Amino acid sequence: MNSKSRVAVVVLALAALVALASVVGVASAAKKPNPLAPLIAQSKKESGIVVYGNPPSANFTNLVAAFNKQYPWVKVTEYDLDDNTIFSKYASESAQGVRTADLLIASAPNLWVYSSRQGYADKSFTPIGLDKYPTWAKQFKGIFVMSPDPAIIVYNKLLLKGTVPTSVAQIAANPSTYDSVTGYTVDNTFGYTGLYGYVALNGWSNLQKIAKRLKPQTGVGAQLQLLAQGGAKAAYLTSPTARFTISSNAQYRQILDWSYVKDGTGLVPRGIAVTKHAASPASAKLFLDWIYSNAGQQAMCDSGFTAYKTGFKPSNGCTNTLSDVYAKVGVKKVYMPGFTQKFVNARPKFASTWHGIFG
Amino acid sequence: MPEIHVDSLVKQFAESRALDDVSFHVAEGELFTLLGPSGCGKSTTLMSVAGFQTPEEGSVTVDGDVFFDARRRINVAAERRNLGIVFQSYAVWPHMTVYGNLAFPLKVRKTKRNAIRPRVLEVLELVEMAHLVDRYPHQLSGGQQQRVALARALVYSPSVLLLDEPFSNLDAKLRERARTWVKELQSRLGLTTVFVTHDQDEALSMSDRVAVMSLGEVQQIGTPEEIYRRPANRFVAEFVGNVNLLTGVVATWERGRLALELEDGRKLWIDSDHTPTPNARITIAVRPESLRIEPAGTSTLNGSNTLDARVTAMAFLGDHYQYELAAGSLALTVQTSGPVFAEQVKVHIPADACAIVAE
Amino acid sequence: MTSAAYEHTAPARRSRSLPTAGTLQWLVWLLVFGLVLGPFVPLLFASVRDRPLYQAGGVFTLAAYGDLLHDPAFWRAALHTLEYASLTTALSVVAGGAVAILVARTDMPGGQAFGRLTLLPLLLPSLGIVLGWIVVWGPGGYLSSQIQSHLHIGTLDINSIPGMAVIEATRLLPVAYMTCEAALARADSSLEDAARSAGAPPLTVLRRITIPMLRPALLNSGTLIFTLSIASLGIPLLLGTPHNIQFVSTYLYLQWTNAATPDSPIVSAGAMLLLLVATLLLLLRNRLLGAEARYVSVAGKAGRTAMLSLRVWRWPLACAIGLYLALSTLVPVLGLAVMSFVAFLTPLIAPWHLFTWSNWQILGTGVYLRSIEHSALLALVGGIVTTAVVAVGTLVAHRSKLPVRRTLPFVMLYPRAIPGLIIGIGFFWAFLETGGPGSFLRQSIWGILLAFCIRNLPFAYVVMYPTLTRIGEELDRAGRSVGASWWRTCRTIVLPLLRPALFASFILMFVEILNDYDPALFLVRPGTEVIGTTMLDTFLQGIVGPVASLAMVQVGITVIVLALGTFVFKVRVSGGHDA
Repeated sequence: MNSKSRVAVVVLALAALVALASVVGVASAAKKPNPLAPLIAQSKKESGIVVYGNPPSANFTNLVAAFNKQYPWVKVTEYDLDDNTIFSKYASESAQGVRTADLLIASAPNLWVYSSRQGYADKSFTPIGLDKYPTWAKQFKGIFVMSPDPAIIVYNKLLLKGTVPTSVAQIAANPSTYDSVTGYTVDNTFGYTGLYGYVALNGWSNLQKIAKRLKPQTGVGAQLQLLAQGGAKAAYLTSPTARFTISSNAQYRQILDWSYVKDGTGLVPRGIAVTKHAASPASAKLFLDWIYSNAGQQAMCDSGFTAYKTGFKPSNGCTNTLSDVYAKVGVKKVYMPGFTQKFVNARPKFASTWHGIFG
Repeated sequence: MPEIHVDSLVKQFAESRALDDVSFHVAEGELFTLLGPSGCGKSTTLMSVAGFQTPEEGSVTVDGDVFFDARRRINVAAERRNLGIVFQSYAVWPHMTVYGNLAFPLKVRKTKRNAIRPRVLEVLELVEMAHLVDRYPHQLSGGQQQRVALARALVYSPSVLLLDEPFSNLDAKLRERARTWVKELQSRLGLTTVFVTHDQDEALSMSDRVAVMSLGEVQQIGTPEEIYRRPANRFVAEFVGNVNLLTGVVATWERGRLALELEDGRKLWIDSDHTPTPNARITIAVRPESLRIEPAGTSTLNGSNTLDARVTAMAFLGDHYQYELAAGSLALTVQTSGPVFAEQVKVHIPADACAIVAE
Repeated sequence: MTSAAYEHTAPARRSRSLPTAGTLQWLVWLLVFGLVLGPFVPLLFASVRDRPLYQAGGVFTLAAYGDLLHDPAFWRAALHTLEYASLTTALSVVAGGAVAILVARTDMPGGQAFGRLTLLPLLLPSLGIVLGWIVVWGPGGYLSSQIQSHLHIGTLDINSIPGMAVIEATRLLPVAYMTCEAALARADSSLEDAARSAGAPPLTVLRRITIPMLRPALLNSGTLIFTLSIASLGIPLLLGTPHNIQFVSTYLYLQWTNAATPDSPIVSAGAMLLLLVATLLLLLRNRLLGAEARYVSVAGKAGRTAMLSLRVWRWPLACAIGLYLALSTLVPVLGLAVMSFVAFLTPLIAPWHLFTWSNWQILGTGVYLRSIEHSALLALVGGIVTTAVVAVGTLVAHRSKLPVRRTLPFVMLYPRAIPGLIIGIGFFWAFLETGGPGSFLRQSIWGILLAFCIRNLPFAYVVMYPTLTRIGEELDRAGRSVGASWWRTCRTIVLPLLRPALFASFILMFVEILNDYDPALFLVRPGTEVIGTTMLDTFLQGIVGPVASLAMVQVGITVIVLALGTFVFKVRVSGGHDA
């Protein structure tokens, strides 16, 4: 062979190699493994997920609609129950071996602590992308924080005539303006968590100033009713689901409005876990994973929950995000209690102090 | 033979013995009356025969069938005894017409449909109520309801009839007519009947035999004449009709008669086959209508058994006169058909009109 | 007529083919006993374990009872409950008895109508009624705030024990009224006539004759009302929180929600203690009722009831009762009606600015529509079935000779002796433990039906029992004397005479099942919702409008069924006259 043809062969060989490489590269680029693929395949064989959860069904249905855009074959059935019923049902049913929940969504810290001891959660799966979240997003193996909801203030703007309470201190310091206040008692789990956060940041002095002006009500519905009737001027440290209620109802907006608690916002974490006895584990894991994806976070914000992926900005200007809380209240004034035994154990003493002040 | 045998019934209620060794037997076709004051146990006895009361001891046999035997633990249910019962309150079913009331027993016995109506009308003819066949009980008078009750008891041709004070709710005139009528029906149909009443006129006029009861015990069983003329004891003597009771000591006796020395020393001769104990204290009964009185002035009465007496009271009762007399320390009641126009009289006590009732 | 006409027909059939009365009665007893004790058995078991009953490795222990009885908070709650129940009972019995006397024994104008109207609270949904009270008489309530600001007088504080007792009393007063009314109708009026002929003025007759005659009825209904109010959870929970007044029911509820571990045995232990108290109360009632026989007049027809003339007091009394009815029942219902047409009700904005159809439009969609359909179906089926079962049970309890019949009145009242939530847990566990059939029940609407029926059958019994006592036992005996078996006698003689009570029981069952929610909280699933749970959900979310419209739907359905039934059966709910 002469030198010219040898060069040609080398060039051809090189070209072939490059072509081969690029072909391989294209092929492998097209087949870059989706880590969820096995789950997706498995999930298509399953018959839908059952969720025992405490979110109001209006909010949750919204969320599920968005989830089904990405995973249309997964049928989601939510049982809207309160925390104790959720765990009691799951425990009884799983002990009997009958079909029970695939996902649990609840807020009571004592019950999550108990769950971790009892091994209710499936520990094998962690959502992809959880690394983009604060470390407290994972509370126990298999138990995660779905939505860190901030306790807020709701107030009767007609009666307050333009004054906007932006802190508990403000409510405490003006007994004539805020002559009657409503909210949860410490005996309610949401109440306890919100109060604990506030007290952890500011101590008891402001609460002591409110003392006898408080007319507590069971449940945010009763509180809103009392506010609307004028039986109370403001609700301190109440549930953020009220935001959704107010924003979706034009007539409520005539009377009520809400604001962040600038001097101390306790976060009430809403936990989520795939259960060990899930009948549709793959589908459940897909849902769990989706919550922490960008699409999921957008849906969370739109549905009245709190999106908290670090650096995530909702595309439509929705403000139900943790960064919004940090922005308006300041990181230092936000308290996240976590599902810890310490937190659970602190309750009795905290409750008796509260009752000592409020009766 | 529809004979009734009641043997040694004992029934104990909490505080008292309602039936104490009650025994009697009723012959076929006989009208047998249980007579006594309220509380004597006559209704309890009747209800025991009917099967609505269960005695502790004893036995009840009707027509050879043992309905109840305490020792052999036999107790046939009331609905299987096939007796006709007329209750004191009639117990005519208010929500059924007269026809309905009578048809019901026939339906229970699965009588053919087209045989029911003729039979009902037939029995209603018997009680002269056929023209009221479609009325409701509240549209009937007391007497009419009673006849419906009787008809209902007869419609299925029981061989034994039990009547529990059926006339006590009727007025006097109606009662008399009802008595005659029931007696006539009973003897015409040849029904063995047990009749309960507290009215001695009824008992005497209707019965073939009478059992006088008091405090759960049978005092005497006999024909109306025997009960009346030869009362076995003080109670029977006093309960049935008016009676004079005289107590004295046996002075002398001979075959066929004995002399009674009364308190004031006078002697009274009475005919009696009874052999008394010497000096025994006995009481005799004399019916007021057996005594003869005549005005003292014109009287031809004398001898033993004739006493002087003074009239203390007089009553005119339509068909007879009743005089209260005082003969020394003795008080007597006398019944005469015509008036005695005198204050001082002589009263004669016939020796054969006395019956020994107590010793 | 000759004796030939008196032919002998065949003697009474000795029924060999049909089950004997004894067998039937035993079956009924077993059915009622089994159904009622079903939910209590798991609760009893759970109360003597050291951990939730579904967890392995538990041991028997009385620690839960110990914890409960050693907790001073429990005793405080018990004291409050005692106060509350006593006050409620006193109010109900006095008011109910008074209205019964006024309606049945005097010439008060509008008599029968008033009697009927006092029964109204029984027909209205309890959650709705309490909401109505809050809206109208609560701290920020429509009327209370107007009266306080313009007239400067205090109105009833519905968040205090007396306030709550008043609300509960309006709901339970019908029990006293019905029992007293039945007793008065049954009593022989000649007893009072005798006193009047002796010269006693009407008030004296009332005081010395009528009221003593009513004593058994008052005691009877009093112990019943006391038992029912001890287990009450709804009113204490909604109204007791503002002043932190704990009752045994809310104490147990808090134990359930706040315990470190779910399904704490303390909750079951508390329920068992309540059951014990109820049993003791019912035993007491039986002892007191033993004397009742003395007060029943001997034989004779009841006859015309005597009318005591009220003279100058006629109209003031009528107005007083009218006012009570208006303020306690009609006004809250009106408040509820208005609330259903507004986004929410507040004295701060005139209602017409807040007018909206949305509370009603939403009822035609999704879960709301399903809830209404389910509830109507359950109420219809449940009403009929429960009335039938309780009717037979009452007959066995009071008209048979079954040796164990005296256990039935107790057992038929147990389902209302403990809070509905706890009995719901009991049902849930019972279904879990009974395999196949239990699984079917647990996952379908029929499990909810069973739970509702059992939970509410005490009301059917309470309605049926007084009427049964008015039917003389000689009517039964007459039936048996002509050869009818026990069951046939019941069927053709007693039950037809019980018709007014059967109808009243059906209506009451219909209403209670239509409105109930507590026992279903553990059983409800998407697709098997009922009105009560949907109302609760909506309320807890803070949206009160649909709660009011749902409550109005409940009231509407009830009124329609009541009207239809009355027309079809031509009977009256109370005071049905037997011919």
